[in-house]
Amino acid sequence: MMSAMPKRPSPVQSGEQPAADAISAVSVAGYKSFYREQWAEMRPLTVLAGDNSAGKTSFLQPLLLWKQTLEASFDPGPLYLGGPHVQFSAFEQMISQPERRPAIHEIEMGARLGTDDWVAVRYAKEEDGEIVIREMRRTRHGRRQVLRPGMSPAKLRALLKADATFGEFARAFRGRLAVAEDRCFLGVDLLGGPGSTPAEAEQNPFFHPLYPGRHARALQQIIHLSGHRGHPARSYPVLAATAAAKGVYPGAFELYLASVVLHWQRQRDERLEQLGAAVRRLGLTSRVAALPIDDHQVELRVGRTLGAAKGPARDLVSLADVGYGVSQVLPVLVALLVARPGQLVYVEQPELHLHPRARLALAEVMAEAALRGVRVVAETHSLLVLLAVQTLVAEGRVPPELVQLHWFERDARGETSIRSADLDRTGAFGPDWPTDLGLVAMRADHRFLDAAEAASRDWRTK
Amino acid sequence: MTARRKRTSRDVVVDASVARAAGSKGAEFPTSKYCREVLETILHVCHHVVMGEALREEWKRNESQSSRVFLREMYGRGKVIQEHEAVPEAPRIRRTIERLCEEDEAEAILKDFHLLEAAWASDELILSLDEKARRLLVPLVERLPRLGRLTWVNPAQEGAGTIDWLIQGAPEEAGRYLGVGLDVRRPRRRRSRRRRGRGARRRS
Repeated sequence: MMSAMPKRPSPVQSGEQPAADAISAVSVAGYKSFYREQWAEMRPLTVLAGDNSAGKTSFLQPLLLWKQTLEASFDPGPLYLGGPHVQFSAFEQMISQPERRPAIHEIEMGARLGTDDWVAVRYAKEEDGEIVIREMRRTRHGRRQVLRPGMSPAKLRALLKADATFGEFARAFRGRLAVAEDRCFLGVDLLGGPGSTPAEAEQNPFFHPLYPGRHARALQQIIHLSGHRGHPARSYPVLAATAAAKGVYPGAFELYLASVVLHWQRQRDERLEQLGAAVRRLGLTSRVAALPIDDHQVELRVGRTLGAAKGPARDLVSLADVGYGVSQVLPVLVALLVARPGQLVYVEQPELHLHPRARLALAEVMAEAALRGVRVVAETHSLLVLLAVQTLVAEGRVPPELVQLHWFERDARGETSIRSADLDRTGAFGPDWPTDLGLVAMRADHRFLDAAEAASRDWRTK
Repeated sequence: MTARRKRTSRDVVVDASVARAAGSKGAEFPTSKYCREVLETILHVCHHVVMGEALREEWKRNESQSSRVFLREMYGRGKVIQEHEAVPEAPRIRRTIERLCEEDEAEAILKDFHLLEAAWASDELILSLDEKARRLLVPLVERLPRLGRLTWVNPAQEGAGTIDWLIQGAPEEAGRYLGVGLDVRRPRRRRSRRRRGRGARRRS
């Protein structure tokens, strides 16, 4: 089984200094088309591009699997396969099965927080059909810790003693140690510590040394906007305004859309104005407003025209009655504004249903969120989105170290590899990044010109 | 994040005549088609273009949709060499051209002297449709050996051959050096104003 965490876990490779709680890189092995270990940096403005079915969406699915496992209202075990973000009906569907490669039975997924705090977990399915954690490895400050279910108390004690945070505590602790399996991660259970009963110790989350709690929090805070952002609804449920305060939005973010707008409206939050400015910039509508229907339903309304940012309510129409582009991009804009520095916003196809002019403007809004410290990961097929990012860098409005480009491609066996590129100060990604978005556009132009010239000749000769 | 295999890449000077012809307006078939294919191949095969300020301005004046897209992609890939080193012999060569040629001919050559300078400072490759400039340069090769080292390719004349050559990495080929295969005439010697006044009569 290949390791999903880079063999020499790599610290941050650019001048960008991610916050300690920010997801700054992702790794995966054995998952779908990622047979071999692949990893990629996640910077404040990260672009994932490549052909259809190249593996762009699959690459970040492990993060979403973790997210939905952690935020389930029940204990789904190590991995929740039927959540709102990623759906499988069997573990085997996740396993990589390229042609002419030895069969594997495990997947491994990893995430790095800050500059060098990697956690990678290996999962497998037992013969009885149970999904289990085989191993969890954590590497930070050049030190590596490995936890496995069933590890002996003596090994766990040695592990804890060697830990900078828990070393002193472990030396004083006289109780029994065991591996704690807590959803998708492992930690250490302190059983029968001084001054507490075993049951109390087990229930106290503080006594769960080595559990990657900061990783778990960062994963739960991911805002995911899938490529299917649903049909615009006439009403949305009123959901907890406290979600915005915590920065955690369990389930699909679109569900929170109207509640966040309503919250901003009630709090006279300046982000409502910023949202209005963004939709006008995209040339979509003049403003956005939330209209409570009752205590558990709220309607989203948008300006009928691109006209005044303020005006009578009759100038507003339901989101369900305007063009699809508005309803598809509104969750993206709200997510970018509501996200906090360090929080990861993963947007699949930000350009969905948008006119090219709006795509360019949207790229600028994404860049502004990135400049605020939000980590925006955009999976795109849009040449214009890419070009807009390059232009912002060349114009000096976005430092190049904040941007990372990843190109996904599959080989003949069906295995995905990732080629990454930085932008330089001129906005160039260099000759080795194999994007074909521009080449396809150029070839389409040339094909048309060839045909038009030929048709013109034929017409003249007749 | 994996390494990528390097492909043969050379630094090519592409005259604005190619950019102009690649567009639809005023371009003639099949020249236009060949020029578009040349741009596409340069982009695809990973060659660089050398484009000093003068040539960039010329491209801007002659831009077409095709050349715009080409430049955008080339800049995006960091494949436009915008500044090249000065060629120490350039002033001497310029003076020699002025001395050897008639005023109108010298003017025609020196108008595009930036192409020659860019080529000398890089891989000595020029792609151009300008046959007039080529014919004026060829007779000078004997006196200016640096001209003879230039590879001069006209996509309109060579057609698909240019594309194959670019795909193969634009290798140096004796048959593509400036002047090879052309009918070489000796340059019309430039006469000084003094000599033009009196000498013309004397010769007649």
